[in-house]
Amino acid sequence: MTTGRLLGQALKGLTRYRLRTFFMMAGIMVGITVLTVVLSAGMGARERIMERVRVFGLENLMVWAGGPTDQTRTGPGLGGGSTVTATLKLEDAQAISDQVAHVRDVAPFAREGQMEVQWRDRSFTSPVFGITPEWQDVWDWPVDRGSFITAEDNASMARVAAIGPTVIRELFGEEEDPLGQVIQVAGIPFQITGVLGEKGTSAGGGDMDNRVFVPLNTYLRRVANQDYLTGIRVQVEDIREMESVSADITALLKERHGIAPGTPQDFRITTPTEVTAMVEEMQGTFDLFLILVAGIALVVGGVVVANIMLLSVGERRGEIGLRMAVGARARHIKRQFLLESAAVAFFGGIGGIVLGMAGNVVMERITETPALFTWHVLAAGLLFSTVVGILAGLHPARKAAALTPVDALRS
Amino acid sequence: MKVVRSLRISVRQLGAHRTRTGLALLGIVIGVSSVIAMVAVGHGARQEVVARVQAMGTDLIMVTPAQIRPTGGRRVRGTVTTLTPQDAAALEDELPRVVAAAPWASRRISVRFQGLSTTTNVMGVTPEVRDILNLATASGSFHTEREEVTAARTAVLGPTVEKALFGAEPAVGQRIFVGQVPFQVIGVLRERGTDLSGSDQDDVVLIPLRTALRRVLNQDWLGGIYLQARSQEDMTEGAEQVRWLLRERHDLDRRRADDDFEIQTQAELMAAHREIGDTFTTLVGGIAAVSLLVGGVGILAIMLISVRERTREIGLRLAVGARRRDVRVQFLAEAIILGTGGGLAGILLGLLGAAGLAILTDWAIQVEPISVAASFTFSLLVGIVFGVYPAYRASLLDPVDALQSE
Repeated sequence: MTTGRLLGQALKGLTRYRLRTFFMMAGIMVGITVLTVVLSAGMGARERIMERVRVFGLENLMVWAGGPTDQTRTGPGLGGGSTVTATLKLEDAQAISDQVAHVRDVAPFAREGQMEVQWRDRSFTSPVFGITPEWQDVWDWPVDRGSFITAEDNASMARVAAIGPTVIRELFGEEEDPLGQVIQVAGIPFQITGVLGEKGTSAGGGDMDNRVFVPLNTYLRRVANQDYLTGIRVQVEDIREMESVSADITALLKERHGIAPGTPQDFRITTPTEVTAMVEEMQGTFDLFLILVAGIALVVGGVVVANIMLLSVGERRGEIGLRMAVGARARHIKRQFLLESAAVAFFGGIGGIVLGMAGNVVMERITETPALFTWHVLAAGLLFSTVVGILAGLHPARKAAALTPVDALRS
Repeated sequence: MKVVRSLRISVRQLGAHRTRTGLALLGIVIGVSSVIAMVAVGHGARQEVVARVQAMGTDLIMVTPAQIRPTGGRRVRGTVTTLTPQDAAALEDELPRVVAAAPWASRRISVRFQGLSTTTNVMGVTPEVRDILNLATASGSFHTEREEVTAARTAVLGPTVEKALFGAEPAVGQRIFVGQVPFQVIGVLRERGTDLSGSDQDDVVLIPLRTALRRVLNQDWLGGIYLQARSQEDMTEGAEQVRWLLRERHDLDRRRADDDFEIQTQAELMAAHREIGDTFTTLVGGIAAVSLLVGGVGILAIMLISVRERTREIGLRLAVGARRRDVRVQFLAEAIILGTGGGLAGILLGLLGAAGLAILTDWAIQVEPISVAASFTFSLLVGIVFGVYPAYRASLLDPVDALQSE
C-alpha cells in the first residue's frame, strides 16, 4: 500500500467516526489551549512587571564627574563625585550618545549642592538640577500638571522650572496654584511650567520630591555660570548591555580627557547593582514559575490526549480485524493508526492554538494584563500536541496490530 | 432497597470495565490536582517575587528634620535640632506598628588613609540599621551593640570609599582618619550601586552613632530616623502615629506649631510592590480558572465517550425489566463514585505535587483551601452532569433501538 492510500484510509477512518474524532481533537485542543493561555498570560504578566520595575532605574548607569580620589580641589559634596571636577562637558554627553553602541538615551545634568528657592516671603532649600528633556525618559519622571522641561526651553535658555511636590507644599501650601507663578532660584526669577508627580524617597532616605528642575543651558549660563556637568545619566537599550556600555564609556571618556593608562580617572561610573540583582532574582523566579505552570499544563494536556486516544482506539478492534482478514499487514495497521493520531493531534493543536488565542482575550479581560503571544508558544503547542498524539496512538496501534484477525474480529 | 441494588450494580460495572474506569478517574484526578498544584505554585512564586521588592524597603518609614523651625507663629529657616536619639527610642518602644528604629546623623567629611583622601558621606548609625536597610558586609563585620555603647572609633566602609582609599589592598584592620579622628576599619559593605534616586549608596562610611555625635559631628540631634513598619499594611496608620507621638514629644500641639519633621515613605517602590502583587494574583486566578475549565472539558469528553459506549448495556437492562429510574440511579451512582473517588485522589496528588514543587523550588508554597474546594466541586459537578445526562437520554430510548445502536 502506498503512503497516499494510507493517508486516504486514515482520513476516511477519521471522517467515519466523526464524533470520536471530534473528541480526540477536543482532548488535544484542550491541552494546547491551556498551554497557550498559560504561557501567553504568564509572559504578558512578566513583561508588565518588568516594565514596572524599570522605574527603579534598572537600565541606567550614572557617569559622575570626579574620580574616586582627589586631594587637590575639594568642594561641597554633590551626592556623587566627592570633588568639583570641571572636565565633564556637554560634548562628552554628545559623544556618548553618538559613539557608544546600545545607548538609548543620554541625559546630562548639573547640580551644585542645595539652593535657596523663594516665593513671596517663603523660602525652601532645595537641590536644583539643570537638565535636558531626556531626563524625564531616563527617570520615568511623572508630571502631574503642566509640562516637563522641553527642548525649546533648553535651546532658548528659558527661565522656566518644573518642581517637585515637597517644594510645592513648602512654598505654596494647599491654597495657591503654583502653575505659572514666578519663583526665585538663587535670586533669579523662574516661571513654574510643570508640577511633578510624587516619587517618594529612596532607601537611603533621599527625597526625590524636593527637587527643582530647570533647563540645563539656563542653569549653566545663568545660575551656576559654569561649563561643566555634574554627571550624565545613560540609559542602555538592554540590561544585558550594561557592562559593555560601561566599559565603552570608560574608554571613550579616557580618550577624550587624555587620561594615560595607570593614572587616575577624572570620572566614575556607578550602576544599580542592588536593583539589578533584585530584578534578576525576580525574573528567575518568574521564569521558573512559568516553566512549572506550563509543565503542569503539558502533563494535563498529555494525559487528556492519551486518555481519549486509548479509549477510542480500543473501540476499533473489529475494524482492525476486518482489515487484517482482507490482507493488511501489521505494519500497515500500525502506520494507519499513527497517521490518524498524528493528523488528529496536529489539527487539534491548531484548534487549540486558535482557542487559546480566544482564551487570551478572555484572560486579558480578567487580569487586565495584555497577553504576550509569541511564536515560541505556537511552535511548542504544535510540536507537543503532535508528539503526544503519536505516542498515545502508538501503543494502542501496536496492540491492535499484534492481534490475530480472528480474535480482533470477535471482540 | 432499589438504591442499594443500583449502587451495587454501579460498583460491579465500574470494576468490570477497569480500563474505562481508570481513564475516567485519571481525567478527574488530573483536572483536580493540576488546579491545586498550579494555584499553590503561583502563590509561592508571588510571595517570592513580592519579598524581593519588599527587601528593598517597602516597609520603611523615614523621619527627617523639617527645614523650617517653628518659633511661635513665625517660620524661621535653620537647622532643626529637635529630633533626638530619645525620639527614636520612644517611637520604637511606644508604637506597636513600628518594629524597629535606626537613628542616624551624617555629614560629608573628608576621610584619609595615608596619602589619599576622599570626601564622603560619614554616617553615624546604630546596629539596627543593618536589618532595616538590609545591609551586608563583603568582608569584616558590622558594628555591634558593644561598639555603640562604648562609642568605639570603628568604621565600616562602603565599596566606593574602599576603592578610593585602598584600591585592591585589604582595608579591614587599617587605620583611617575621619576628619581629625582616627578610626579602625572593621568591615566593608557589600556593593549596592545606585539607589532609586540615582545616588551612589556605596559612597559612605558608617561609624557608631554615639561616636558620630560626640566625637565627629559634635551635636546631639539626628539627621533622621529609619523606621521599619510591622507590615506594609501598617504604613499609613504607622506614619500617622509617628507624627502624633513626635508632635507630642516636641510639644508642638500646645504651641500650635507646624511639624518640625518630615515623614516619608518609598512611594514609588510601594506602588510597584502593590502592582506586582496584584498582577500576580490575577494571573494565578486566571490560570486557575482556565485550567479548571479545561479540566472540566477533559472530564466531559471522557464521560460522554464512555457513556455512549454503553447504550447497548442500557438497552439490555431495560429489555430484561429494569425501570428507567433504576438505570438513572445506577448511572448517577457511578458518576458520583467516580467523581468523589477521582476528586479525592486528585486532591491527594495535588497536595503531593505542591509538596514536591516546594522542595524543588525552595519557595514557601501554600495550598489554597479555596482551590481545593473549587476544583473538587467543579469536577464532581461536571462528572455527574455529563455522566448522567447521556444515560438519561439513553434510558428514554426504546430498548430495541438502544440494543441496535452501535
